Amino acid sequence: MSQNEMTGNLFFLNSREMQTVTIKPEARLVERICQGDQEAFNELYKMFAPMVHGIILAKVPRDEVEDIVQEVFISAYKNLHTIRDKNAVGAWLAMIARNNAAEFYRYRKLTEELPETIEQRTTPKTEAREILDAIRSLPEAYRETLVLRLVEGMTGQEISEQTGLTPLSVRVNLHRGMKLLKQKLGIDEK
Amino acid sequence: MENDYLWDKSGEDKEIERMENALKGFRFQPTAPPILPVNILQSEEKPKFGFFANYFKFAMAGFACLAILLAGFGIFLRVSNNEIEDVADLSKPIVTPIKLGNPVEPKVIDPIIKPPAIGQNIVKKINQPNPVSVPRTTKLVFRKTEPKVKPMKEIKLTTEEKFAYEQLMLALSITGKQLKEVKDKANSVEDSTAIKSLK
Repeated sequence: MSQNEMTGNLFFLNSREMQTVTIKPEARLVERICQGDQEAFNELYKMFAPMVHGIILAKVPRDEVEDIVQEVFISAYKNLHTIRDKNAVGAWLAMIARNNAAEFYRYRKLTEELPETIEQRTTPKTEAREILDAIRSLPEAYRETLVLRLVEGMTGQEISEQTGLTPLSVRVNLHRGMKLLKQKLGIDEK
Repeated sequence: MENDYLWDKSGEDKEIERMENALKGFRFQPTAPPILPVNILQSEEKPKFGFFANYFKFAMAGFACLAILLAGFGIFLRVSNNEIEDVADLSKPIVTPIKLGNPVEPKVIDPIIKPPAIGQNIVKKINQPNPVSVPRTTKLVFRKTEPKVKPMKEIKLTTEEKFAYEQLMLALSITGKQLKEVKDKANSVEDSTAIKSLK
């Protein structure tokens, strides 16, 4: 047997082994949910709810976010048997969240959040609101990654794993988004 | 390093930390998962009208087969009846219809049938009464035993064609007569010589 054939076989075995190894825990959760396991659904909710919350918060008024998160998970539960790649359940949930956020503006009247009192302008709460508004004015790709990073406190790697985006694109979105955000907020970059 | 803190929270970046602290209030508060209706998945997986859908498919297939069979049988019957009528027509004598009111130009002349002699024969035929139509008796003939024979087609001739046809017949009759005369003469010569030789 030649050297090339041996290396080819080794590569084949390695790729097969990798395929068997790369079954993610969320894929097993999906299988359990499809078999009617309610506890598995609760685990899936705990795992992905912050990500779904962040994506919806980047687009929808704060008061509506909780309801839409619940709707996203209910519709996911109803359609879970249609998912093709069970490893990509995070990306699938992110897609449902984006669709539900878009539907919110399609079927409901646009509302505007007002401060509770005018005196609260200088409080930290209003500062947070200003930052959040500045993030929401950014392009969609930067908006989502910045909310997940700054609001939900996820690292770049976690964002990449849960949303299905590549680590490189998450890194680029974070840095470009942060640069634009600082410009909007009038913060000088050192 | 600033880049590392933004990516994986390693290092320090006071500005980003300040933003994070400010935005903590909007963070997801762990709540109970949504209450799900029971047996959603089971009801979703069941196909609607499963049994009746299958029954309907079989019924439709059966009806389609039956319709095809009936149509084929109908076509077979029709074709076979036509063949019997066609063969039965041959038993009847073919008569060319000739109108008495227009003796010069008969409308239909069958050229395949032996043509009548020009002149006297046509007149004779015109003077004859119309052939009495005999009620046709259908005669069943099986295809296997007798070969199928197609009836002869009637050819309609124009006046010019008829004229040419008559002229041709006239020429043939004249040449025929002349040939006969020549033949008779030759025969008579031969006879006379024979008689002479006998004498």
